[in-house]
Amino acid sequence: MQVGIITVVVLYEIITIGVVGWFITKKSKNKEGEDEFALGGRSLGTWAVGTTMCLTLLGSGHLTGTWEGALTLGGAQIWHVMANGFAMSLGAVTIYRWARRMRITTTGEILTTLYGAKLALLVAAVNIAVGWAVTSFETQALGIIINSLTNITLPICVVIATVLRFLYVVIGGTKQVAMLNQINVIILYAGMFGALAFLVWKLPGHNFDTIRNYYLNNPDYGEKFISFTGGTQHFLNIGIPVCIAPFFAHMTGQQTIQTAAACKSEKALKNIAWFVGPMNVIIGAISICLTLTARTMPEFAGVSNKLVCSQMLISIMPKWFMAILFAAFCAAILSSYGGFLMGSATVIAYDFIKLYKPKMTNKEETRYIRIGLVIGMVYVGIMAQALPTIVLMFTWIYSFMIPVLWLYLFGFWWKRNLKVGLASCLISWIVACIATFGAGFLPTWYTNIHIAYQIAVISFVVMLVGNLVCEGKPGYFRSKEWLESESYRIYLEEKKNGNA
Amino acid sequence: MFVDIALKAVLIQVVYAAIILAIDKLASKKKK
Repeated sequence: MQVGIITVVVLYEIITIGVVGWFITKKSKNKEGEDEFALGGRSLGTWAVGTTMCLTLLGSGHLTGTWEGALTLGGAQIWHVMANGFAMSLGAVTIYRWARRMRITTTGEILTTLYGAKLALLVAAVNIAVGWAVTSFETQALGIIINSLTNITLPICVVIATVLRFLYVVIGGTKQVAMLNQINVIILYAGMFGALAFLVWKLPGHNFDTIRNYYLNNPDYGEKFISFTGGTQHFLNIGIPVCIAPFFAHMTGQQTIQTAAACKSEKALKNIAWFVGPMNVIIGAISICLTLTARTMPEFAGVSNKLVCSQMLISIMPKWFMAILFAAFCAAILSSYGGFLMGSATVIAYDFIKLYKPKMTNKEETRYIRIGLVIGMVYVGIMAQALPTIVLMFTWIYSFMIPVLWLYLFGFWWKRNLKVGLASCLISWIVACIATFGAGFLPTWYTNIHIAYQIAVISFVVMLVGNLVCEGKPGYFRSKEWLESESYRIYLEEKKNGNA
Repeated sequence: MFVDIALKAVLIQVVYAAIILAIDKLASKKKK
């Protein structure tokens, strides 16, 4: 039991969460403004939005997920991390910006405006499932960290993680998460670069040559394993699917759009494109090097891929440094958990409860979001007990968000037809489920085609052909609805002031 | 190993962001 490290980590989290929570409560006591809890009053600047988005996505996928994934996927694991940067940079000038322009809070509201409530509800339900799945991976990740510090079994650590994480989001809201992220991002970077420096200092020749030689001389791995793409075949079968699934999901998901909607202007939002990508991939690259090094150490030969990196860090790093590093890990994982759980809870309140209570007050909205948080926490805690392989599950669940990007693009700028939209989602999702759960009965050539490819192609073809053949309303930004809306008036004002 | 992976990844991200923002700038100029 690493009592000293645990004390520092717990103190760090209590102090940051407590101080920020107190500050937010004090500041918003007399303010029941528009969307205060979910959107932070639409007042966040470039740095706050960029760091929040980065840290929301920079959780278990970059840390424990990468530690585990890099040991099976090799260097090509970096493409899973790269996807986040690709999505956020492109999203900032396209989907996020257009969503913010519409003055929406949830992805369900975008789809309701574009296609009507039926399709919006269907996608909102999938969005909640995606959000909860991701938070279950984050719960597992925090469980792994607690396990490394306490040696308590992983399932019990997952239960402890569930309770700790809940406290993180339930006190404040989006603004609290955003403020905490600005502190946590500094701690995380200091911790990760410090870990890299310590490791390099400990390695012979103060470089990774010995690690590189270990993989080059091992017939189970070889040169391709530690290369950037893993070779052409590996890149096509693994690299691209682990990249495109999160790319689509983060371009269209509640977790990023909610943060973007909280941005104070389009100009501030666009500027995040410069730093979100590099900010993400650096952490992923460090994670890959840490875990590839851990696997070469004979003293950890018996430790599973899930736990080997954290076990190595605990045993070779100085205790005081581990305290900082694990505080940073917890911060990143908590932040990701906060963003996704908050996203799902907001969808429940705005897209489902509002159907029955259309005239909710801000206080009621906040109450329903908090109820959504509790339901999510319990469900996620149970799901996390299954301990799935994090990166593979990320790729699978994110694939289900792929059709949503086509729905947005076609619906914003070309044509809107509800039946075509429904067909695109349902057909591609059904095919993906058959490909996954019927893999034992299907030919190998077919099961080798990743479901991310299948969903991307099928949903696009259905949307394209369907819209060519069927009639539909014009794209939203070309329609009268938009030109006559209050959001358009606000957009023109922003444009006049040079903020759009 | 770290330099190889990190450098390539960061470079790709920066070039990608620069292309996107350049296209966006061109598009908004064209609109005006």
